[in-house]
Amino acid sequence: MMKYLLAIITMVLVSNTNAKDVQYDMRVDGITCPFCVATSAKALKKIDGVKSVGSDLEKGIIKVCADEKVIFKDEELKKMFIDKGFTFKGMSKKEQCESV
Amino acid sequence: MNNKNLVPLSILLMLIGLFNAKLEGAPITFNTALPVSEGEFILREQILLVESSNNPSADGLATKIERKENTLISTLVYGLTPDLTLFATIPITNRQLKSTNLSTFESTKRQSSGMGDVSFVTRYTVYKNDFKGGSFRIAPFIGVKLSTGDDNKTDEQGALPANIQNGSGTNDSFVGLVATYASVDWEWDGQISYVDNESKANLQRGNVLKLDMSLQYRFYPNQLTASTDTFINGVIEFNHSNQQQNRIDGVSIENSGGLINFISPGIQWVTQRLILEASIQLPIRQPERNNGLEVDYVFRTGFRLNF
Repeated sequence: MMKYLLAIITMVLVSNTNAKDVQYDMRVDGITCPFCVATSAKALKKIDGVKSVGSDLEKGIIKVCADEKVIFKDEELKKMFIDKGFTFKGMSKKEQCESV
Repeated sequence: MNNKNLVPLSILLMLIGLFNAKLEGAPITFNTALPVSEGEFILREQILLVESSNNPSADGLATKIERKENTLISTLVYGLTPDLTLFATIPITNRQLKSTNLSTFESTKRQSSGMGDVSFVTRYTVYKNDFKGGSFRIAPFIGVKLSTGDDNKTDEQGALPANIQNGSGTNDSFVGLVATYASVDWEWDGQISYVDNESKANLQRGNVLKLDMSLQYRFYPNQLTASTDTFINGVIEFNHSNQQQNRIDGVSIENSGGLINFISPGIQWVTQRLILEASIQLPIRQPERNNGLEVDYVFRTGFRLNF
């Protein structure tokens, strides 16, 4: 019994170690202040697998740290940001999350 | 300091803001054209303190009159679509009028409290140009102020004067246009609006043309970093209001209407969820009235919360 328990714990630890987080830098035009970013950040945080959301206002970038299994599609993001009142221009992916 | 001295000082501050400062935020004394996200709410609570008085020594009068108004203005904002925004405003007010006989120093006070006139506004963005770290938008708006506040309050002396009644007694409409240029470094807002006042019995209150401008500059942090999530803004605003004279049975009433200009320095603390703000509106020009009240100042403080 103890063997099985150890095996399960080991599998969980291994699977957690293997779950990799990546960062998407989303270029969004029209965001100018912390208050403007809030509703977009709220919508992104509702997506399963999204760990944290930050912003770099000077560069017009919203940074999303998410499980690598999360797939963001340009068309969906474009629609989401239009609903929030802003303009999605594109995104790039980084293999590691910065502190956001 | 004489309020007139504030004009060059304010212009200087605006120029300093334009060329040196980091600006950001939203106007305190009027609206912005910046968007409200679809399906999202913003709650704005603002406390308004207004003090007005006459000048008995200059006008050779024996009575000092002081008017005080304390109003809590609650506004709920809803983004119906990314371009169409709805606003509903409910004021709760307390208005006092104190008269002091300068010979005997006896004073009488009259006051009223309660809900004022509610208003509803709809704003539609007709032009939007988003760019990296900024946006330029133009949005016309139209609204109505409903006669929900009691305008027939009385006390032991009889009917209260109109300027301390809770409501105006009329349903008034207004229309305007607001434009905003916002960047991470600075923001400018300008608004023009026209208020069409209805008549009540035989009294026709004068219609009002308003022009407002606001400049917001971020003085903290001086430099943005990737982790910046709080701004502290300096704000300078200019408010112009020109009201036609009131009329009774078509005859203009002296000591009514006229042109009033305010300069309004303010401050804002901006976070992702909350904006805290305060400003003081100082009159730099207003009609000189015989025996009439003149605005001493208007103080505004409050918050905006998105949820």
